Amino acid sequence: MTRHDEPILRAENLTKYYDSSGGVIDNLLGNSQWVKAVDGVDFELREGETLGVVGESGCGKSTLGQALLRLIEPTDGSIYYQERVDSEGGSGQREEIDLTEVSSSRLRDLRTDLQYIFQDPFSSLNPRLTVGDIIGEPLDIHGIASGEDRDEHIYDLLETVGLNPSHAHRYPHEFSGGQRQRIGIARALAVDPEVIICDEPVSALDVSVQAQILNLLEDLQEEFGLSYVFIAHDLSVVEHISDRIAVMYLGEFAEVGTTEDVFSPPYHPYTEALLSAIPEPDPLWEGEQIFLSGTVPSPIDPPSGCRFHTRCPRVIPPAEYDLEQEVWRSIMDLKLRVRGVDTAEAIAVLDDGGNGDNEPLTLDDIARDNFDSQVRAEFDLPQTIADPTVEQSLSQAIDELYAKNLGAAQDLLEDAFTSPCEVHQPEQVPTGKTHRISCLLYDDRYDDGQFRSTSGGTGDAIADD
Amino acid sequence: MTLLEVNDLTVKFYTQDGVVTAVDNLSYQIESGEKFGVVGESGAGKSVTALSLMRLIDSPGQIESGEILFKGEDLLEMSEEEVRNIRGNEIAMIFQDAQTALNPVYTVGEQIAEAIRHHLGHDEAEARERTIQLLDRVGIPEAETRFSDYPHEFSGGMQQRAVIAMALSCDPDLLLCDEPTTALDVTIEAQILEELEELADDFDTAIQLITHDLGVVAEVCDRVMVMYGGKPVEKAPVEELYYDPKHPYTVGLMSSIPRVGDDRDRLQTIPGTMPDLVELPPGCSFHPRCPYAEESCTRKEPPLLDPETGEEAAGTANEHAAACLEYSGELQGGLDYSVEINDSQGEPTAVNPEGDRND
Repeated sequence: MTRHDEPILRAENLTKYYDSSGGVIDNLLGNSQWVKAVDGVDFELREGETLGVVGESGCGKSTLGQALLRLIEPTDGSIYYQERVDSEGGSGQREEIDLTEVSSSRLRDLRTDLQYIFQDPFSSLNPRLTVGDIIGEPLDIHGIASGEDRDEHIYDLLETVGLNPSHAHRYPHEFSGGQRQRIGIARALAVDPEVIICDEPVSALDVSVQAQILNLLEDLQEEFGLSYVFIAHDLSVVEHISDRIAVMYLGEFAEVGTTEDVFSPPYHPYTEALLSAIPEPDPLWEGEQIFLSGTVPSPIDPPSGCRFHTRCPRVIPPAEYDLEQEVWRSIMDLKLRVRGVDTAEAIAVLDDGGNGDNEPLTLDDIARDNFDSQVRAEFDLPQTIADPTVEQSLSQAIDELYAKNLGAAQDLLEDAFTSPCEVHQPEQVPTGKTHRISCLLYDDRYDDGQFRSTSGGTGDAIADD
Repeated sequence: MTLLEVNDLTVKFYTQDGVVTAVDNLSYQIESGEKFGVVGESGAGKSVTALSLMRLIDSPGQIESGEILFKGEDLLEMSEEEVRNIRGNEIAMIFQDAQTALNPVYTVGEQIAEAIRHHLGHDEAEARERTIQLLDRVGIPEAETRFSDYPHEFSGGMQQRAVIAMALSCDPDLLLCDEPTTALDVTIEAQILEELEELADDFDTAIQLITHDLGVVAEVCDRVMVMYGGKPVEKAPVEELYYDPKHPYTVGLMSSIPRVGDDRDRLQTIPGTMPDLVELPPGCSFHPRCPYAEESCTRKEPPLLDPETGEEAAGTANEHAAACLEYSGELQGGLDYSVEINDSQGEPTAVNPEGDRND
């Protein structure tokens, strides 16, 4: 069961956009907006391995899982599955099928190979069916077993997942969360699948029960030679169970590699931040935590270039400036804030030194210097920046803000401070045999402030946002 | 100074299936400015404990007995009006689900300003200014514009920040946080915890942090109480709990967490599930799941004992106490586990050789 030459499940340019417009009228008027939940993901799952997919909520991991099995229809891309065909010469022959091309009845047959375990053990089991019927349903649909044979099968499956076979006539509400997740696993196993997509199977469970389910999944993998795609937001769980890990951010893979690759340097800055944020169960642990600025941007209009540049602590400064990393991050934050606000007052919470008067403050109430220092304090910027060009552009922008010329301030900031990360889309760069990172820091095309495009066009040509 | 003292608190719920003893004879105390953690799995009685402190237990639940002394006065003896003056003012609460904790038909700012007007007697403009400063203080950008946003316009992390701002609005002495970060992503969780710690220090507020996540406790708390089946099974200062756990349940909890960097093939588990609170097992309620359980455990319920002397715990602030018959000498076989400290990272991992009994 350890043939690693051909991936059992492979996706190319898998894309899923959701329409978030208001309906027919918006469509007619051309106002449709697309939520880019999964945006051109290349993906492979090898036989017998566990591929972990991690990311924050809203990064598209569940959509990816569902699109892989066509539980939701992908917008674009292909999914190839190696189906086992029994030939006379012996088993082990496989034939490649494009899941996006097959008919729905063929897809239904293929469900005997491809199964799904859902996150919520409460809503994924039909409350009106007994556990026996829940597990028996796939057996009926695919004509696998009937009559006594079917009962036999159900008892076996319950035993396999560690439940008492005599409970087959009970209803889901009579079981605890962990037991229900076992029922969900038994249902997935009923058709003797090859690939199981586990969508946050342990997130809703207590730690002690979580450990039981993780062990069960590992035992089953060994016993039946299963391949898992394991979707989770908990990095320590993913690290424990996975052979390879894909880190997702806003619909794209930021980093793919073996567990060891992903959990040791070189890191993608996003992975590094995720890793540092795990609360360590050790009171004396003194690791440095990396705090990401801002929140996850909307997938309707994802940031240009590298999608992580709006929050990245290691966002690259323009080559002509000599800046500390934190100062550059703060300047980027200021720029993004200016881009997002409607009035200059909203840049920082103004304080006139507490003279007791409770009228809301406006820009007219405070002096230019006071405003300047309050803006800098809000963004942790030094009162004077060492690089004179930067300092000049920055104070000009603050002048414009003080004069309430929001648009002018915005233009100034955009002109003076543009990171290469905003302009150039990073490609997946191999940093080892099994490890790929999408980040300009590791991209050979980008070096010493110079961008060498391999595809003909120059870097300047695509500088717009 | 002891800020809160809970003595022999018992809370029962009268349900159709029988009487559920959610909290059973619980005693603990919190010093002012202290960060106190309450850990346990679902159904351990953590949230009910917090709700009792706010006198928010509703029918069919009932506080049966005990006393809750807050600054020396018994909350259970107070009139509804007196309690209302303390609630949100001197004791504030942060709930797990910020989305449901905020009222969807009022703006976020108005909800916070309301508490300030009510408890501190500020007028409209003063309350507004204080609210904006609070929102800014808890890390909400553009606080002035955000004041008049509705809760649904905030992201999950922002909503939780707003709830924290609301809780801190009246400068409380005690903050009850019920799983404040469970619904959030790790990156946001790290920010919120850092913020909470910092604010608690600035405002000199004591925190009772309820969580099931031992990582969160390690990061924030000074002292910890581990609960199981409505009872405390272990109380200890945080370092002692992690490096020298005394109760088999604590050991089980710690060894079942997957850790980054450990290379165990299998996780150790606590077999079985939390017992039904209607019908707790006789004797020690952990005995059906305990790898070291003996015949005596099914008969005698262990009190909280001092593991060194085996005497009943005195209830002093910094003691280490565990409820296991091992410490009264009634266990024949003893407890056979060890704590391994991983040198490269200095993390303790509890190892319990018989613990992996999966049934």
